[in-house]
Amino acid sequence: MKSKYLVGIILAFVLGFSITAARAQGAAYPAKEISYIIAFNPGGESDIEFRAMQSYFEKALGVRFVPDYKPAAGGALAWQTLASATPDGYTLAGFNSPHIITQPLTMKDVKFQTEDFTYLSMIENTPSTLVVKKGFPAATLKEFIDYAKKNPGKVTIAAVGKFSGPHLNVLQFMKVAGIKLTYIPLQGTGQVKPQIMGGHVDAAFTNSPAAVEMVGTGVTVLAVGTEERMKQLPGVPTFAELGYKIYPRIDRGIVGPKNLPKDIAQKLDKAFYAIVTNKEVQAKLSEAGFVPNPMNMAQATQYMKEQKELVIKLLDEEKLMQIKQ
Amino acid sequence: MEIFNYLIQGAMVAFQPVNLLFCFIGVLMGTLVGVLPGLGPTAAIALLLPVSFHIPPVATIIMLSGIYYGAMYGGSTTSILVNMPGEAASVITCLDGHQMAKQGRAGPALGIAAFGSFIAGTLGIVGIVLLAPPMAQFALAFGPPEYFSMMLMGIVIIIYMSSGSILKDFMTAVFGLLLGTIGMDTIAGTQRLTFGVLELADGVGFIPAVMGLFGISEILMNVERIVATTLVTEKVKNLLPTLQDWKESIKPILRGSVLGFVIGVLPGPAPVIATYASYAMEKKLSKTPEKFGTGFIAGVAGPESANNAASSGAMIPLFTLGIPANSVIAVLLGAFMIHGLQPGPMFITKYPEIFWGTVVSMYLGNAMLLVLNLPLIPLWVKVLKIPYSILFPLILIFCLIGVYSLNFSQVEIGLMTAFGVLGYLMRKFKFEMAPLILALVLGPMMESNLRLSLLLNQGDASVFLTKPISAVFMGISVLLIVSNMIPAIRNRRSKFKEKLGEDDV
Amino acid sequence: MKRNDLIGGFFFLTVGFFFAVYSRSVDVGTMEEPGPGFLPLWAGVLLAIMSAALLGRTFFKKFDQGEAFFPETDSWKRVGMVVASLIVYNLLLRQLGFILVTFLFVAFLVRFIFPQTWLKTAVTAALSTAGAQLVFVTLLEIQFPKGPLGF
Repeated sequence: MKSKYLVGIILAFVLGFSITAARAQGAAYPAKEISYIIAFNPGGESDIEFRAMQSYFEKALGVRFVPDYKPAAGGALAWQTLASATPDGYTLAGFNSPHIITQPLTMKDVKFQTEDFTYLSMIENTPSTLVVKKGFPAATLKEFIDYAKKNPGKVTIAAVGKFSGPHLNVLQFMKVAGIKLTYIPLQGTGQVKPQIMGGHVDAAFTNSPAAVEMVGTGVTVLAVGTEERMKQLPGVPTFAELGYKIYPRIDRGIVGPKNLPKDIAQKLDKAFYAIVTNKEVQAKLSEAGFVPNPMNMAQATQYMKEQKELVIKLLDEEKLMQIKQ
Repeated sequence: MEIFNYLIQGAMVAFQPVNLLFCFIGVLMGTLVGVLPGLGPTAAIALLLPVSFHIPPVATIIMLSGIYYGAMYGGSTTSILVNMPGEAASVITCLDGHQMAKQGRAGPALGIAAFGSFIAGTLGIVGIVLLAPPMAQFALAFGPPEYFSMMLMGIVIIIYMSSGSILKDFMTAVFGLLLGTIGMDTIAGTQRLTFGVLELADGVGFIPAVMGLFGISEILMNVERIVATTLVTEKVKNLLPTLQDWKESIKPILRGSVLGFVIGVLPGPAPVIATYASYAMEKKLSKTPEKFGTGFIAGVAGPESANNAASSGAMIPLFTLGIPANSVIAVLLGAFMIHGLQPGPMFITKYPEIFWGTVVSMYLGNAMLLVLNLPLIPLWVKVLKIPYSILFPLILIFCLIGVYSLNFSQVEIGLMTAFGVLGYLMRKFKFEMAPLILALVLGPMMESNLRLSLLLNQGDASVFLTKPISAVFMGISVLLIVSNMIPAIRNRRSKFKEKLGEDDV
Repeated sequence: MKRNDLIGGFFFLTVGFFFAVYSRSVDVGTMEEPGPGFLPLWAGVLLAIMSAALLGRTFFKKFDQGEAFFPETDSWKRVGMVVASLIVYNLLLRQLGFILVTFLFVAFLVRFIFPQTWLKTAVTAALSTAGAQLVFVTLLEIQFPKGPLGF
């Protein structure tokens, strides 16, 4: 009697939803929306980069690109999720280097390897700058290095994270300059800015957009990690021109899971490369503070291979590798 | 003064139809999202961010601010109605707000929360207008030692919120501190107690913890008895605060606003600290401290105002320093940058129409919230009339979905359940939960600030006392502890003396 | 009440101990460079001391009967069932899909905790599932697991 109702309602659900759940099978790629995993919070740099290109993606491939925010463990969760996603071209992600290299090497519970991805494209890089607090007894890079040599371990330098890209940049800098600094790991640029502006740390490695924001507050930008001087930072020399051939920065690109079918990978490769070399897109990215650095799939894969070797070398020397390769 | 000029300029911007529309959309979305447990303002912002690309920057900022305030208010709604905080800053509202709801006074609770927030918002605007530049400098003076001492004081404040045994409250707080160590240690990069589960690398999620400790445990407690059919058995008395309510609330609102604003200016989780501090302050200053926790309206008015004022205060470091106080404001920052606007000390002078336009529209958002939500109060109150047998599964479903929608993590659903059981047991054994939440939120930051302080000063712990601001907070903490112990010691002494007296006879 | 403090005290004593011992396996560090074990050690020790104090204080209190743990004889059944249903929901979410699991969950609770009629059960379950689907999936565009039947 009454249980008839229950059965009836369940049947109604089954019917109703099976009908609406029917999907097109075997249509040409892409046949439905593509999920784009963003490894950080909305509003952050990775998000800004995605938004600048989203409409171009959608036009080139004819389907919606739906952002999926997965901030956790500095991006590791997002990339872990992508590594285990079905390689059908409907799940992609933005990635950061060297994060995607250092994390499997230094974090214990990470379940992906740097090789678990198809590197589809490199988009841009965000150069780092060396900044010193107001009143620090050094106005140029040379003076800074001299001071640090006279006071080994006394000068404090802050950057985001431990075993992260910025940390590696600092390590590389210390190696090349032959100095010893005390590294202060902080959580995010939002923490680095007040610490350096308030004079609580002596120096900081921070990305160029943040450095630009701090101009006029009393801090001094000593050097920037680009190949050529940045017009947003007039008067700031590059590390290279001062004799230190380092280019501290964060690279960003797009990845898919490994073993993507050849034709899908090629389609994405062509589309993305056209977008990252597009002058309009590059202008938008520059405006947001990034330095466009377009690479196609072949170039990106080779680049990441080289980067990994560099990172391993650096971590090995500093005895920082937690996981044996 | 030229300030009035600016305000009028700002008003002209804010009242443009486009901006009004987006303010409304933001407030509406924000409230909706805030009411759904688990979903926070970040979710709403993530959704509306694409829209923001096609509308002018001012409208974007106005809409996003609307979402922010709306979500805060929505969070208070669930705190009061079903004892489930929508976010960290709403936890305190549960204490007295839900008790009021159980006594049939949900209407006045919701009303005073709305009005208090509005008044605090007004005062907040005044604060911004008068104090933006000097406060920005003040905020910069806070380094790791200052933050640590301030947070330590925040934990010590728990004494004043205690309605039971202080020892037990501190124990739950320390427990919360320990729970906060789970996850990746940001300074050394090592994983602690994560058992190979990557989801735990960022620590025990705050949302699963809160929803479990408050929401689920509440349901488990209620399910014990068959007796009650609806959550509120008393007849609903008034829908709006009475004159008596206002008399009891006005001073807490004013005090909360000032306190909240000052705390809000400091980069960091200001709204949370502000609510706890306000509650403790009101309890300390009240002539009837024992009423707190039983449904005393000052316990809602003060913290809610502090919350809102803190959010206004948080706009200062955002605009003048480009430093977001929490993840929601970080999204606002992102929105600026997408439109090519650089926050910083020059911001106010470079883009006055945007700054003042935002300030005025924040106020508008507050006003809209009031107008929007007051008529909804009778509706919310009706929700409490739904038979509990049907209501509680609905609440559970929203909890489950809410938590899942955060990170699509079944681990977090499990965590929430575990916290639910923990909270249930804690309540049965009469251990307070609010200190645990405060410690869980502050703990990780306290720890990193402690270690950074030591790292920056070569292990010299005296820095906490030599730096002036830090010394002040330490001093206050000591004072608080001592002043609370004196009456206790006096008590013991007189009891002891009595005993001696008895034995003589 | 004495029983509360005794059980609570022992529980927290164990927790404090656990953290203090655990902290040895992650580097405690020095004052100059406090490591990941620094806070767990000291906070764990503190908690253990406080628990000991609580237990000590409790021994001197008079024993009172106080309230029973469960106010009604079948309280534990309901509480247990709710907890169990939460666990089962989590386990089955991926296997059976969001819609089915939600429906069954609500139906179970409505029918078996404070028993309602089958009609009310079915209607509540259907409406709440539909409502959740509408608000979260359609309106807020959040993806939920689909079960073997495609929904």
